[in-house]
Amino acid sequence: MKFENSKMKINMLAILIIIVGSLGLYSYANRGTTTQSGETYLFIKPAFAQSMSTAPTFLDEEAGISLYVNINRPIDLTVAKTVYRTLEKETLNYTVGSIALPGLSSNEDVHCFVHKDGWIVTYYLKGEPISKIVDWNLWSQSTSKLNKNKLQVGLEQMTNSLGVVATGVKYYHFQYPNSNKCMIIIKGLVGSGENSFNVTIPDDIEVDERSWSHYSEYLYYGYNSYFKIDGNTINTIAGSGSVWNVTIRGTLSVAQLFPSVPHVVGVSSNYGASYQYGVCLALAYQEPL
Amino acid sequence: MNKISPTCLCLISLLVGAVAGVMFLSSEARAQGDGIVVDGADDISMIANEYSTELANATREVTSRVVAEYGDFSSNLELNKSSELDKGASAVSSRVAVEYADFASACELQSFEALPQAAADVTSRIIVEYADFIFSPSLGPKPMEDGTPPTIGTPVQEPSSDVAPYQNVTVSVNITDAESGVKNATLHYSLNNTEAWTTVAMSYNSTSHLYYATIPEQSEGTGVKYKIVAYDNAENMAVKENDGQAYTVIPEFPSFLILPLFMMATLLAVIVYRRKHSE
Repeated sequence: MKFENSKMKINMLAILIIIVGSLGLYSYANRGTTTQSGETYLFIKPAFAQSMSTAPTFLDEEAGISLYVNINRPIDLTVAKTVYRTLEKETLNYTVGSIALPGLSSNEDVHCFVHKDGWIVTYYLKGEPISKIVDWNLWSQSTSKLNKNKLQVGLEQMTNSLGVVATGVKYYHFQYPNSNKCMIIIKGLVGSGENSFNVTIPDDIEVDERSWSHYSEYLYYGYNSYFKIDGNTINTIAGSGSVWNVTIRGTLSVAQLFPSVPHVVGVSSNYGASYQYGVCLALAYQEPL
Repeated sequence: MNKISPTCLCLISLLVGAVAGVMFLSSEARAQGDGIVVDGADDISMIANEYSTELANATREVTSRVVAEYGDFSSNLELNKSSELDKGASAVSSRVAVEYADFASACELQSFEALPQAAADVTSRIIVEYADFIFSPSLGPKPMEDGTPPTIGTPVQEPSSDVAPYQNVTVSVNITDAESGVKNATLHYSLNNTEAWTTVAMSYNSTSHLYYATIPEQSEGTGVKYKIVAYDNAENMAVKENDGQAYTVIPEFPSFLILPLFMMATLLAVIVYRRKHSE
Protein backbone atom coordinates (compact mmCIF):
# COMPACT_ATOMS: atom_id res chain seq x y z
CA MET A 1 0.00 0.00 0.00
CA LYS A 2 2.83 2.27 0.87
CA PHE A 3 4.51 1.40 -2.40
CA GLU A 4 1.35 2.11 -4.40
CA ASN A 5 0.93 5.41 -2.63
CA SER A 6 4.48 6.41 -3.49
CA LYS A 7 4.03 5.40 -7.12
CA MET A 8 0.90 7.48 -7.35
CA LYS A 9 2.74 10.44 -5.92
CA ILE A 10 5.52 10.03 -8.48
CA ASN A 11 3.02 9.89 -11.30
CA MET A 12 1.20 12.96 -10.01
CA LEU A 13 4.51 14.79 -9.75
CA ALA A 14 5.48 13.77 -13.27
CA ILE A 15 2.14 14.94 -14.68
CA LEU A 16 2.47 18.22 -12.80
CA ILE A 17 5.98 18.76 -14.17
CA ILE A 18 4.81 18.02 -17.70
CA ILE A 19 1.85 20.42 -17.41
CA VAL A 20 3.97 23.20 -15.95
CA GLY A 21 6.67 22.56 -18.54
CA SER A 22 4.15 22.67 -21.36
CA LEU A 23 2.68 25.91 -20.09
CA GLY A 24 6.15 27.37 -19.83
CA LEU A 25 7.01 26.29 -23.34
CA TYR A 26 3.76 27.68 -24.72
CA SER A 27 4.09 31.00 -23.02
CA TYR A 28 7.71 31.37 -24.07
CA ALA A 29 6.96 30.42 -27.63
CA ASN A 30 4.44 33.23 -27.76
CA ARG A 31 6.86 35.68 -26.23
CA GLY A 32 9.78 35.30 -28.59
CA THR A 33 8.29 37.04 -31.62
CA THR A 34 5.32 39.31 -31.33
CA THR A 35 3.53 40.07 -34.53
CA GLN A 36 0.58 42.37 -34.63
CA SER A 37 -1.29 43.64 -37.58
CA GLY A 38 -0.41 47.29 -38.32
CA GLU A 39 -2.46 50.09 -39.77
CA THR A 40 -1.88 51.67 -43.13
CA TYR A 41 -1.90 55.45 -43.17
CA LEU A 42 -2.35 57.03 -46.54
CA PHE A 43 -0.75 60.36 -47.21
CA ILE A 44 -2.00 61.90 -50.38
CA LYS A 45 0.40 64.49 -51.63
CA PRO A 46 -0.80 68.04 -52.27
CA ALA A 47 -2.90 68.14 -55.36
CA PHE A 48 -0.62 70.50 -57.21
CA ALA A 49 2.31 68.10 -56.96
CA GLN A 50 0.48 65.39 -58.81
CA SER A 51 2.31 65.73 -62.05
CA MET A 52 4.55 62.73 -62.38
CA SER A 53 2.33 60.19 -64.03
CA THR A 54 4.50 58.11 -66.31
CA ALA A 55 2.10 56.98 -68.99
CA PRO A 56 0.82 59.81 -71.20
CA THR A 57 -2.94 60.00 -71.25
CA PHE A 58 -5.20 60.98 -74.11
CA LEU A 59 -5.29 64.52 -72.81
CA ASP A 60 -1.50 64.64 -72.46
CA GLU A 61 -1.19 64.09 -76.15
CA GLU A 62 -4.20 66.08 -77.26
CA ALA A 63 -4.81 69.11 -75.08
CA GLY A 64 -3.29 72.48 -74.39
CA ILE A 65 -5.01 75.07 -72.21
CA SER A 66 -7.82 73.36 -70.31
CA LEU A 67 -10.56 74.01 -67.83
CA TYR A 68 -11.77 71.06 -65.79
CA VAL A 69 -13.94 69.93 -62.96
CA ASN A 70 -14.85 66.69 -61.25
CA ILE A 71 -18.52 66.67 -60.37
CA ASN A 72 -17.95 63.74 -57.98
CA ARG A 73 -20.67 61.57 -59.40
CA PRO A 74 -20.95 59.21 -62.36
CA ILE A 75 -21.76 60.79 -65.72
CA ASP A 76 -24.11 59.28 -68.28
CA LEU A 77 -21.98 59.48 -71.40
CA THR A 78 -24.99 59.22 -73.67
CA VAL A 79 -26.19 62.55 -72.30
CA ALA A 80 -22.77 64.08 -72.73
CA LYS A 81 -22.72 63.07 -76.38
CA THR A 82 -25.80 65.15 -77.10
CA VAL A 83 -23.88 68.33 -76.35
CA TYR A 84 -21.23 67.81 -79.01
CA ARG A 85 -21.35 69.38 -82.41
CA THR A 86 -18.97 66.61 -83.46
CA LEU A 87 -18.22 63.39 -81.57
CA GLU A 88 -14.49 62.92 -81.92
CA LYS A 89 -13.78 59.87 -79.76
CA GLU A 90 -15.76 57.41 -77.72
CA THR A 91 -14.67 54.64 -75.35
CA LEU A 92 -16.39 52.76 -72.57
CA ASN A 93 -14.96 55.21 -70.06
CA TYR A 94 -15.05 58.55 -71.81
CA THR A 95 -16.17 60.57 -74.80
CA VAL A 96 -14.52 63.47 -76.60
CA GLY A 97 -16.23 65.97 -78.85
CA SER A 98 -16.35 69.58 -79.94
CA ILE A 99 -18.84 72.05 -78.55
CA ALA A 100 -20.14 74.92 -80.67
CA LEU A 101 -19.96 78.36 -79.10
CA PRO A 102 -22.69 80.97 -79.65
CA GLY A 103 -21.95 83.32 -82.52
CA LEU A 104 -18.65 81.72 -83.43
CA SER A 105 -17.55 79.51 -86.28
CA SER A 106 -16.58 75.87 -85.90
CA ASN A 107 -12.93 76.93 -85.85
CA GLU A 108 -13.60 78.37 -82.44
CA ASP A 109 -15.26 75.24 -81.02
CA VAL A 110 -13.89 74.04 -77.72
CA HIS A 111 -13.10 70.39 -77.26
CA CYS A 112 -14.63 68.53 -74.38
CA PHE A 113 -13.56 65.34 -72.62
CA VAL A 114 -16.15 63.67 -70.38
CA HIS A 115 -15.25 60.67 -68.20
CA LYS A 116 -17.87 58.43 -66.65
CA ASP A 117 -16.21 58.93 -63.23
CA GLY A 118 -17.25 62.57 -63.18
CA TRP A 119 -14.44 64.40 -64.96
CA ILE A 120 -15.29 67.12 -67.49
CA VAL A 121 -12.44 68.86 -69.31
CA THR A 122 -12.91 71.60 -71.91
CA TYR A 123 -9.77 72.49 -73.79
CA TYR A 124 -8.10 73.80 -76.90
CA LEU A 125 -5.64 71.64 -78.74
CA LYS A 126 -1.97 71.70 -77.97
CA GLY A 127 -0.20 74.25 -80.14
CA GLU A 128 -3.15 76.62 -80.03
CA PRO A 129 -2.40 79.84 -78.14
CA ILE A 130 -3.87 80.45 -74.74
CA SER A 131 -5.19 83.76 -76.08
CA LYS A 132 -7.73 81.73 -78.07
CA ILE A 133 -9.88 81.37 -74.97
CA VAL A 134 -10.75 85.09 -75.21
CA ASP A 135 -14.09 85.64 -76.94
CA TRP A 136 -14.18 89.31 -77.92
CA ASN A 137 -17.97 89.06 -78.23
CA LEU A 138 -17.98 88.69 -74.46
CA TRP A 139 -15.70 91.66 -73.88
CA SER A 140 -17.41 94.73 -72.54
CA GLN A 141 -15.45 97.92 -73.04
CA SER A 142 -17.88 99.89 -70.92
CA THR A 143 -17.30 97.71 -67.88
CA SER A 144 -13.75 96.68 -68.84
CA LYS A 145 -14.64 93.10 -68.16
CA LEU A 146 -14.43 89.80 -69.96
CA ASN A 147 -17.58 88.17 -68.71
CA LYS A 148 -16.56 84.60 -69.58
CA ASN A 149 -14.03 82.84 -71.72
CA LYS A 150 -14.70 80.15 -74.30
CA LEU A 151 -13.64 77.27 -72.06
CA GLN A 152 -16.09 78.46 -69.43
CA VAL A 153 -18.88 78.71 -71.97
CA GLY A 154 -18.19 75.18 -73.23
CA LEU A 155 -18.02 73.73 -69.73
CA GLU A 156 -21.21 75.47 -68.80
CA GLN A 157 -23.01 73.98 -71.78
CA MET A 158 -21.92 70.50 -70.74
CA THR A 159 -22.79 70.83 -67.05
CA ASN A 160 -26.13 72.39 -67.89
CA SER A 161 -26.97 69.42 -70.09
CA LEU A 162 -25.88 67.00 -67.36
CA GLY A 163 -27.94 68.88 -64.81
CA VAL A 164 -25.04 69.64 -62.51
CA VAL A 165 -23.38 72.78 -61.22
CA ALA A 166 -19.65 72.94 -61.68
CA THR A 167 -17.85 74.05 -58.54
CA GLY A 168 -14.14 74.14 -58.00
CA VAL A 169 -13.17 74.41 -61.65
CA LYS A 170 -9.45 74.60 -62.36
CA TYR A 171 -7.19 75.48 -65.27
CA TYR A 172 -4.33 73.37 -66.52
CA HIS A 173 -2.04 73.42 -69.52
CA PHE A 174 -1.06 69.94 -70.61
CA GLN A 175 1.94 71.16 -72.60
CA TYR A 176 3.34 73.26 -69.78
CA PRO A 177 3.13 71.01 -66.73
CA ASN A 178 5.56 73.25 -64.87
CA SER A 179 3.53 76.39 -65.42
CA ASN A 180 1.54 77.20 -62.32
CA LYS A 181 0.06 80.50 -63.42
CA CYS A 182 -1.67 82.04 -66.39
CA MET A 183 -2.33 85.72 -67.02
CA ILE A 184 -4.72 87.28 -69.50
CA ILE A 185 -4.30 91.05 -69.94
CA ILE A 186 -6.70 93.06 -72.09
CA LYS A 187 -6.66 96.64 -73.29
CA GLY A 188 -9.57 97.97 -75.27
CA LEU A 189 -10.16 101.00 -77.47
CA VAL A 190 -13.30 102.68 -78.77
CA GLY A 191 -12.98 104.74 -81.95
CA SER A 192 -9.75 106.19 -83.24
CA GLY A 193 -6.67 106.73 -81.15
CA GLU A 194 -4.36 104.53 -79.18
CA ASN A 195 -4.57 102.79 -75.83
CA SER A 196 -1.81 100.86 -74.15
CA PHE A 197 -0.75 99.09 -71.01
CA ASN A 198 2.68 98.43 -69.54
CA VAL A 199 3.97 95.02 -68.61
CA THR A 200 7.22 94.01 -66.94
CA ILE A 201 8.19 90.38 -66.50
CA PRO A 202 10.81 89.71 -63.82
CA ASP A 203 13.75 87.70 -65.07
CA ASP A 204 13.30 85.02 -62.44
CA ILE A 205 9.89 84.10 -63.81
CA GLU A 206 10.07 81.46 -66.50
CA VAL A 207 7.47 82.13 -69.17
CA ASP A 208 6.33 79.14 -71.19
CA GLU A 209 4.03 81.00 -73.55
CA ARG A 210 3.47 84.60 -74.65
CA SER A 211 0.49 84.73 -76.96
CA TRP A 212 -1.74 87.53 -78.13
CA SER A 213 -5.11 88.28 -79.65
CA HIS A 214 -5.89 91.42 -81.68
CA TYR A 215 -9.50 92.34 -82.30
CA SER A 216 -11.27 94.78 -84.55
CA GLU A 217 -15.04 95.15 -84.51
CA TYR A 218 -15.24 97.08 -87.76
CA LEU A 219 -12.95 98.80 -90.23
CA TYR A 220 -13.76 100.45 -93.50
CA TYR A 221 -11.57 100.47 -96.57
CA GLY A 222 -8.35 102.35 -96.02
CA TYR A 223 -8.47 102.26 -92.23
CA ASN A 224 -6.35 100.08 -90.01
CA SER A 225 -5.99 98.84 -86.49
CA TYR A 226 -2.54 98.15 -85.11
CA PHE A 227 -1.21 96.04 -82.30
CA LYS A 228 2.20 97.29 -81.22
CA ILE A 229 4.78 96.48 -78.61
CA ASP A 230 7.22 99.26 -77.75
CA GLY A 231 6.21 101.02 -80.94
CA ASN A 232 6.92 98.02 -83.13
CA THR A 233 3.93 96.77 -85.08
CA ILE A 234 3.16 93.15 -84.26
CA ASN A 235 -0.07 92.92 -86.21
CA THR A 236 -2.19 95.04 -88.50
CA ILE A 237 -5.86 94.52 -89.26
CA ALA A 238 -6.57 96.35 -92.48
CA GLY A 239 -9.99 97.53 -93.57
CA SER A 240 -10.00 96.14 -97.07
CA GLY A 241 -13.66 96.84 -97.62
CA SER A 242 -16.14 96.58 -94.77
CA VAL A 243 -14.51 94.22 -92.30
CA TRP A 244 -16.46 93.04 -89.30
CA ASN A 245 -15.30 91.18 -86.18
CA VAL A 246 -11.79 90.19 -87.06
CA THR A 247 -9.64 88.42 -84.48
CA ILE A 248 -6.01 87.59 -85.21
CA ARG A 249 -3.89 85.53 -82.81
CA GLY A 250 -0.24 84.70 -82.51
CA THR A 251 2.67 84.20 -80.18
CA LEU A 252 5.59 86.41 -79.20
CA SER A 253 9.25 85.59 -78.92
CA VAL A 254 11.34 86.16 -75.81
CA ALA A 255 13.02 89.09 -77.55
CA GLN A 256 9.70 90.77 -78.18
CA LEU A 257 8.80 90.60 -74.53
CA PHE A 258 12.21 90.58 -72.95
CA PRO A 259 12.25 90.19 -69.16
CA SER A 260 13.03 92.93 -66.68
CA VAL A 261 12.18 95.64 -69.20
CA PRO A 262 8.89 97.55 -69.12
CA HIS A 263 7.05 97.03 -72.38
CA VAL A 264 4.27 99.17 -73.79
CA VAL A 265 1.58 97.04 -75.39
CA GLY A 266 -0.81 99.11 -77.41
CA VAL A 267 -3.82 98.92 -79.70
CA SER A 268 -4.72 101.72 -82.06
CA SER A 269 -7.14 102.56 -84.83
CA ASN A 270 -7.47 105.42 -87.26
CA TYR A 271 -11.14 104.82 -87.95
CA GLY A 272 -13.18 107.53 -86.34
CA ALA A 273 -16.48 105.75 -85.67
CA SER A 274 -17.19 104.27 -82.24
CA TYR A 275 -16.27 100.67 -82.88
CA GLN A 276 -14.31 98.52 -80.48
CA TYR A 277 -10.75 97.35 -80.85
CA GLY A 278 -8.69 95.40 -78.41
CA VAL A 279 -5.51 93.58 -77.69
CA CYS A 280 -5.00 90.67 -75.33
CA LEU A 281 -1.71 89.33 -74.01
CA ALA A 282 -1.75 85.80 -72.53
CA LEU A 283 1.12 84.40 -70.49
CA ALA A 284 1.71 80.95 -69.02
CA TYR A 285 4.55 80.97 -66.54
CA GLN A 286 6.16 79.48 -63.51
CA GLU A 287 5.65 81.80 -60.63
CA PRO A 288 8.05 81.15 -57.74
CA LEU A 289 6.15 79.52 -54.90
CA MET B 1 52.05 208.17 -51.79
CA ASN B 2 50.92 208.55 -48.17
CA LYS B 3 47.45 207.00 -49.06
CA ILE B 4 49.00 204.04 -50.79
CA SER B 5 51.44 203.28 -48.05
CA PRO B 6 48.94 202.25 -45.31
CA THR B 7 46.96 200.15 -47.79
CA CYS B 8 50.05 198.39 -48.96
CA LEU B 9 51.16 197.84 -45.42
CA CYS B 10 47.78 196.21 -44.58
CA LEU B 11 47.91 193.96 -47.60
CA ILE B 12 51.46 192.95 -46.89
CA SER B 13 50.69 192.25 -43.24
CA LEU B 14 47.63 190.19 -44.26
CA LEU B 15 49.68 188.27 -46.75
CA VAL B 16 52.44 187.64 -44.29
CA GLY B 17 49.89 186.65 -41.64
CA ALA B 18 48.19 184.22 -44.00
CA VAL B 19 51.47 182.63 -45.01
CA ALA B 20 52.50 182.36 -41.37
CA GLY B 21 49.11 180.81 -40.45
CA VAL B 22 49.34 178.17 -43.15
CA MET B 23 52.82 177.28 -42.14
CA PHE B 24 51.69 177.01 -38.49
CA LEU B 25 48.80 174.69 -39.28
CA SER B 26 50.84 172.43 -41.47
CA SER B 27 53.45 172.22 -38.77
CA GLU B 28 50.69 171.22 -36.26
CA ALA B 29 49.44 168.46 -38.50
CA ARG B 30 52.81 167.04 -38.95
CA ALA B 31 53.24 167.25 -35.19
CA GLN B 32 50.50 164.57 -34.86
CA GLY B 33 52.76 162.17 -36.65
CA ASP B 34 51.47 159.80 -39.32
CA GLY B 35 48.10 159.42 -37.60
CA ILE B 36 44.58 160.18 -38.76
CA VAL B 37 44.07 163.54 -40.36
CA VAL B 38 40.90 165.19 -39.11
CA ASP B 39 39.61 168.23 -40.80
CA GLY B 40 36.83 170.41 -39.65
CA ALA B 41 36.26 168.61 -36.38
CA ASP B 42 34.58 170.48 -33.58
CA ASP B 43 36.86 168.92 -31.10
CA ILE B 44 39.77 166.62 -31.29
CA SER B 45 40.94 164.69 -28.33
CA MET B 46 44.24 163.04 -28.58
CA ILE B 47 44.90 160.05 -26.40
CA ALA B 48 48.35 158.74 -25.95
CA ASN B 49 48.59 155.27 -27.42
CA GLU B 50 51.48 154.26 -25.45
CA TYR B 51 51.63 150.70 -24.23
CA SER B 52 51.60 150.22 -20.52
CA THR B 53 52.22 147.09 -18.48
CA GLU B 54 49.27 147.86 -16.23
CA LEU B 55 46.94 148.02 -19.16
CA ALA B 56 48.19 144.74 -20.49
CA ASN B 57 47.55 143.07 -17.14
CA ALA B 58 44.10 144.56 -16.89
CA THR B 59 43.05 143.49 -20.39
CA ARG B 60 44.06 139.92 -19.71
CA GLU B 61 41.26 139.65 -17.15
CA VAL B 62 38.66 141.05 -19.47
CA THR B 63 36.93 138.46 -21.69
CA SER B 64 35.53 139.32 -25.04
CA ARG B 65 32.01 140.62 -25.07
CA VAL B 66 29.57 141.67 -27.69
CA VAL B 67 29.04 145.33 -27.26
CA ALA B 68 25.57 146.50 -28.03
CA GLU B 69 24.90 150.11 -28.45
CA TYR B 70 21.67 151.92 -28.88
CA GLY B 71 19.63 148.68 -28.78
CA ASP B 72 16.09 148.79 -27.53
CA PHE B 73 16.51 145.36 -26.02
CA SER B 74 19.51 143.26 -25.34
CA SER B 75 19.62 139.76 -24.03
CA ASN B 76 22.86 138.02 -23.34
CA LEU B 77 22.93 134.22 -23.44
CA GLU B 78 25.68 132.27 -21.88
CA LEU B 79 27.37 130.46 -24.74
CA ASN B 80 29.87 128.58 -22.73
CA LYS B 81 29.89 124.92 -23.70
CA SER B 82 28.76 122.57 -20.98
CA SER B 83 29.02 118.80 -20.64
CA GLU B 84 25.22 118.59 -20.71
CA LEU B 85 25.22 120.36 -24.02
CA ASP B 86 27.75 117.88 -25.34
CA LYS B 87 25.41 115.03 -24.46
CA GLY B 88 22.45 116.84 -25.92
CA ALA B 89 24.30 117.56 -29.14
CA SER B 90 25.44 113.99 -29.49
CA ALA B 91 21.84 112.81 -29.20
CA VAL B 92 20.74 115.08 -32.01
CA SER B 93 21.19 113.49 -35.44
CA SER B 94 21.26 115.31 -38.71
CA ARG B 95 17.95 116.50 -40.02
CA VAL B 96 16.77 117.75 -43.35
CA ALA B 97 15.96 121.41 -42.90
CA VAL B 98 12.75 122.48 -44.59
CA GLU B 99 11.87 126.14 -44.92
CA TYR B 100 8.86 127.85 -46.36
CA ALA B 101 7.15 124.57 -47.28
CA ASP B 102 3.36 124.51 -47.37
CA PHE B 103 3.33 120.90 -46.23
CA ALA B 104 5.92 118.41 -45.06
CA SER B 105 5.28 114.84 -43.97
CA ALA B 106 8.09 112.72 -42.66
CA CYS B 107 7.67 108.95 -42.56
CA GLU B 108 9.83 106.68 -40.47
CA LEU B 109 11.86 104.62 -42.92
CA GLN B 110 14.04 102.80 -40.49
CA SER B 111 14.12 99.06 -40.96
CA PHE B 112 13.18 96.60 -38.31
CA GLU B 113 14.38 93.08 -37.83
CA ALA B 114 11.43 91.36 -39.42
CA LEU B 115 11.57 93.45 -42.58
CA PRO B 116 14.52 91.69 -44.28
CA GLN B 117 12.82 88.36 -43.64
CA ALA B 118 9.53 89.67 -44.92
CA ALA B 119 11.25 91.09 -47.99
CA ALA B 120 12.90 87.75 -48.65
CA ASP B 121 9.50 86.13 -48.63
CA VAL B 122 8.18 88.37 -51.38
CA THR B 123 8.26 86.59 -54.68
CA SER B 124 8.53 88.11 -58.10
CA ARG B 125 5.38 89.20 -59.85
CA ILE B 126 4.60 90.31 -63.34
CA ILE B 127 3.86 94.01 -63.19
CA VAL B 128 1.01 95.29 -65.32
CA GLU B 129 -0.05 98.91 -65.50
CA TYR B 130 -2.99 100.62 -67.19
CA ALA B 131 -4.61 97.40 -68.41
CA ASP B 132 -8.38 97.35 -68.71
CA PHE B 133 -8.70 93.75 -67.56
CA ILE B 134 -6.45 91.16 -65.96
CA PHE B 135 -7.38 87.54 -65.37
CA SER B 136 -4.74 85.44 -63.67
CA PRO B 137 -5.84 81.92 -62.71
CA SER B 138 -3.57 79.29 -61.25
CA LEU B 139 -2.79 76.31 -63.44
CA GLY B 140 -3.07 72.84 -62.04
CA PRO B 141 -3.19 70.29 -60.70
CA LYS B 142 -3.34 67.99 -63.65
CA PRO B 143 -6.79 66.51 -64.02
CA MET B 144 -7.29 62.78 -63.69
CA GLU B 145 -3.88 62.36 -62.16
CA ASP B 146 -3.02 59.57 -59.76
CA GLY B 147 -4.25 60.62 -56.36
CA THR B 148 -4.18 57.16 -54.83
CA PRO B 149 -1.20 56.06 -52.75
CA PRO B 150 0.37 52.63 -53.13
CA THR B 151 -1.08 49.58 -51.39
CA ILE B 152 1.27 47.90 -48.93
CA GLY B 153 0.58 44.27 -48.06
CA THR B 154 1.39 42.48 -44.82
CA PRO B 155 5.14 42.27 -44.29
CA VAL B 156 6.72 38.85 -43.79
CA GLN B 157 9.93 38.55 -41.82
CA GLU B 158 12.50 35.79 -41.96
CA PRO B 159 13.11 34.24 -39.53
CA SER B 160 9.52 34.64 -38.51
CA SER B 161 10.33 33.90 -34.88
CA ASP B 162 13.20 33.08 -32.58
CA VAL B 163 15.51 35.72 -33.88
CA ALA B 164 18.85 34.87 -32.38
CA PRO B 165 21.50 37.39 -31.42
CA TYR B 166 23.56 38.63 -34.35
CA GLN B 167 21.16 37.21 -36.87
CA ASN B 168 19.91 39.32 -39.80
CA VAL B 169 16.18 39.63 -40.35
CA THR B 170 14.84 39.89 -43.88
CA VAL B 171 11.50 41.60 -44.41
CA SER B 172 9.55 41.12 -47.62
CA VAL B 173 6.33 42.81 -48.61
CA ASN B 174 4.03 43.17 -51.59
CA ILE B 175 3.57 46.81 -52.67
CA THR B 176 1.41 47.78 -55.64
CA ASP B 177 0.14 50.95 -57.30
CA ALA B 178 -2.27 50.46 -60.14
CA GLU B 179 -2.04 54.01 -61.54
CA SER B 180 1.39 55.60 -61.69
CA GLY B 181 3.28 52.65 -60.23
CA VAL B 182 5.52 52.27 -57.19
CA LYS B 183 8.42 54.69 -57.19
CA ASN B 184 10.29 53.43 -54.12
CA ALA B 185 9.89 51.74 -50.76
CA THR B 186 11.88 52.02 -47.57
CA LEU B 187 11.91 50.09 -44.33
CA HIS B 188 12.35 52.10 -41.15
CA TYR B 189 13.31 50.36 -37.92
CA SER B 190 14.00 51.49 -34.39
CA LEU B 191 15.61 49.70 -31.48
CA ASN B 192 14.23 49.28 -27.98
CA ASN B 193 11.16 51.37 -28.64
CA THR B 194 13.02 54.61 -29.27
CA GLU B 195 12.02 57.20 -31.83
CA ALA B 196 15.38 57.03 -33.60
CA TRP B 197 14.49 55.43 -36.92
CA THR B 198 17.02 53.90 -39.25
CA THR B 199 16.10 53.78 -42.92
CA VAL B 200 16.87 50.89 -45.25
CA ALA B 201 15.97 51.08 -48.94
CA MET B 202 13.87 48.14 -50.08
CA SER B 203 14.82 46.39 -53.30
CA TYR B 204 12.32 45.01 -55.76
CA ASN B 205 12.56 41.43 -56.93
CA SER B 206 10.94 41.10 -60.33
CA THR B 207 10.57 37.34 -59.92
CA SER B 208 8.74 37.31 -56.63
CA HIS B 209 7.26 40.79 -57.19
CA LEU B 210 8.10 41.60 -53.62
CA TYR B 211 10.15 44.33 -51.98
CA TYR B 212 12.95 43.22 -49.67
CA ALA B 213 15.00 44.83 -46.91
CA THR B 214 17.32 43.41 -44.26
CA ILE B 215 17.41 44.53 -40.68
CA PRO B 216 20.98 43.97 -39.46
CA GLU B 217 21.83 41.70 -36.57
CA GLN B 218 21.18 42.90 -33.05
CA SER B 219 22.37 41.83 -29.64
CA GLU B 220 20.38 39.68 -27.24
CA GLY B 221 17.27 41.28 -25.77
CA THR B 222 17.07 44.07 -28.32
CA GLY B 223 13.52 45.00 -29.24
CA VAL B 224 13.12 45.85 -32.91
CA LYS B 225 10.07 47.50 -34.44
CA TYR B 226 9.74 48.49 -38.04
CA LYS B 227 7.46 50.16 -40.56
CA ILE B 228 7.38 50.43 -44.33
CA VAL B 229 6.97 53.63 -46.39
CA ALA B 230 6.23 53.57 -50.11
CA TYR B 231 5.83 56.30 -52.75
CA ASP B 232 4.23 56.08 -56.14
CA ASN B 233 5.33 58.04 -59.21
CA ALA B 234 2.79 60.72 -58.43
CA GLU B 235 4.51 61.18 -55.06
CA ASN B 236 1.61 59.75 -53.10
CA MET B 237 2.90 58.13 -49.94
CA ALA B 238 1.63 55.12 -48.02
CA VAL B 239 2.92 53.96 -44.64
CA LYS B 240 2.51 50.51 -43.17
CA GLU B 241 2.83 51.87 -39.67
CA ASN B 242 3.37 49.53 -36.83
CA ASP B 243 4.10 49.53 -33.35
CA GLY B 244 2.97 46.14 -34.40
CA GLN B 245 5.56 44.57 -36.67
CA ALA B 246 8.22 43.87 -34.07
CA TYR B 247 10.38 41.19 -32.56
CA THR B 248 12.79 40.72 -29.72
CA VAL B 249 16.13 39.04 -30.09
CA ILE B 250 16.12 35.99 -27.83
CA PRO B 251 19.12 34.48 -25.93
CA GLU B 252 21.24 32.07 -27.90
CA PHE B 253 20.47 29.24 -25.40
CA PRO B 254 16.82 29.91 -24.66
CA SER B 255 15.51 29.75 -21.12
CA PHE B 256 12.50 27.75 -22.24
CA LEU B 257 14.85 24.81 -22.72
CA ILE B 258 16.46 25.21 -19.31
CA LEU B 259 13.18 25.02 -17.48
CA PRO B 260 11.94 21.71 -18.96
CA LEU B 261 15.41 20.22 -18.74
CA PHE B 262 15.56 21.15 -15.11
CA MET B 263 12.09 19.66 -14.60
CA MET B 264 12.98 16.49 -16.42
CA ALA B 265 16.15 16.14 -14.40
CA THR B 266 14.23 16.62 -11.18
CA LEU B 267 11.63 14.10 -12.25
CA LEU B 268 14.34 11.63 -13.20
CA ALA B 269 16.08 12.10 -9.88
CA VAL B 270 12.84 11.54 -7.99
CA ILE B 271 12.10 8.36 -9.94
CA VAL B 272 15.57 6.96 -9.38
CA TYR B 273 15.43 7.85 -5.74
CA ARG B 274 12.06 6.22 -5.25
CA ARG B 275 13.06 3.09 -7.09
CA LYS B 276 16.12 2.74 -4.96
CA HIS B 277 14.09 3.12 -1.83
CA SER B 278 11.34 0.77 -3.03
CA GLU B 279 13.91 -1.93 -3.71
